[in-house]
Formats: sequence, structure tokens, C-alpha cells
Amino acid sequence: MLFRSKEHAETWRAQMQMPAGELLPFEQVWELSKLWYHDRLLPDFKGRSIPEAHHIFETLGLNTDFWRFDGLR
Amino acid sequence: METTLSEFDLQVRYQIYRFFAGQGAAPSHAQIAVLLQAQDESVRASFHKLHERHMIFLESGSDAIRMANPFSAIPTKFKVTSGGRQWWANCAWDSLGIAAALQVDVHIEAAYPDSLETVDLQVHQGRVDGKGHKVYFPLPCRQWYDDLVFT
Repeated sequence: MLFRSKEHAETWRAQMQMPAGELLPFEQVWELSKLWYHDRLLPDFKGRSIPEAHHIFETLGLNTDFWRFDGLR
Repeated sequence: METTLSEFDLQVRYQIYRFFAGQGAAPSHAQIAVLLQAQDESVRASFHKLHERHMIFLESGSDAIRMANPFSAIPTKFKVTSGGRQWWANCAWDSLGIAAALQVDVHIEAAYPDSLETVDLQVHQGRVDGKGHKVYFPLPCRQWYDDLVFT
């Protein structure tokens, strides 16, 4: 979900009683997109392992428990 | 037991993505069967295997593709255009993901969840100006596949 500012996001989240989640700058999500999706249209893309996914997040400083797939349901 | 994907399944996956990229819409298993000159039933089975491996997402109880991230098969709050072509993205992240996957500059027309207003953002020459915008991720990674539409 996209918000024009942190304040807009937090007001809406409180009103809707949504979880705290994480709020990232649009520019950081662009960096994440490049790492996550650059190879999606290649014929030999075979998916991504959990360690590979964690490495991408860690590259961008996303190293909290929120960004871990351990115990994936 | 985890589903093992065959070379054929991966060919199906690739053709799904090529179709989405070229047409801006999801293919049916029959359309992919024609493209691969394969049996329709084999492609349908591949759709379900790819779904089980979270590589595409089918509508519940259906053979129809709902998502092949970053692409959405249905209109969303995130319309992405480039050079006369158009796609729907599943979320803010995926709107940028389309630019990254296709390696093209894009215009993103996004609607805010807290109003009826829309905003135009761009990927231009590989860069973005987010104009202060923030992307909200409600759920931690380990819960993403519980309800991917909500995520």
C-alpha cells in the first residue's frame, strides 16, 4: 500500500486497526524491486531459496525478524 | 512433500511471464498449451504445480491465474504503463517490480488506500523520485502466503 507520507500511513493504519508492519521509502522499494525482480523474465529463473531471499533483504539493511521467512506458513 | 518442478513446468512458467509482459494480461492454460505445442491437461497440471511452489497464484478453486508477481491478472490500484503498453501490478512493490522485470522506464498511476486520489510516479532512466511516498508492508515475510491478496 502506498501513502504520500509517514503521517498519512500511520493515521490510516490506526483507523483501520492494521498491524504495525514496516514502512519503507519508495526509493528503497525500488532498490528492493531491482534485486527481487530483475531475473523474473529470464527463461532459466527457477525461483529463489529462503537464504537467497534473506540475502536480498540484508543487502538493503532489512535484517529484522520482519524480513525473515523462517517458519514460513 | 514439496512439489518438484520439471523442465516442462519451468517452460510453462517462462511462457506465462512472456505472455503477461507482451499482452498485459494473464494467459489461460489452453493458450500456453498452444504456444508450447503441448497437451492442455499437462499445462493445466503445471499451473497447479507452479501455484504450489508460490511461483504463480491461481484463483481459489480455479485454473485461472490471479498473479504472476509482479503482474496481476485483474485491475488493481496500481496501473503501470510504458511505451503504449499497460500492466496491472499487485501492490506498490510490484508496480516497481514491473519496471525492474521488464527493464524499462514506466509511469505508475497509483491510488491511495486512504482516499480516492491517485498519484503519478515514474521510473525514469533507471531512477525513481518517490516524492516522499512510503510503502506499507502489513505482514512479516513468514505470513505473506497466508493470504497473498491481503499481503
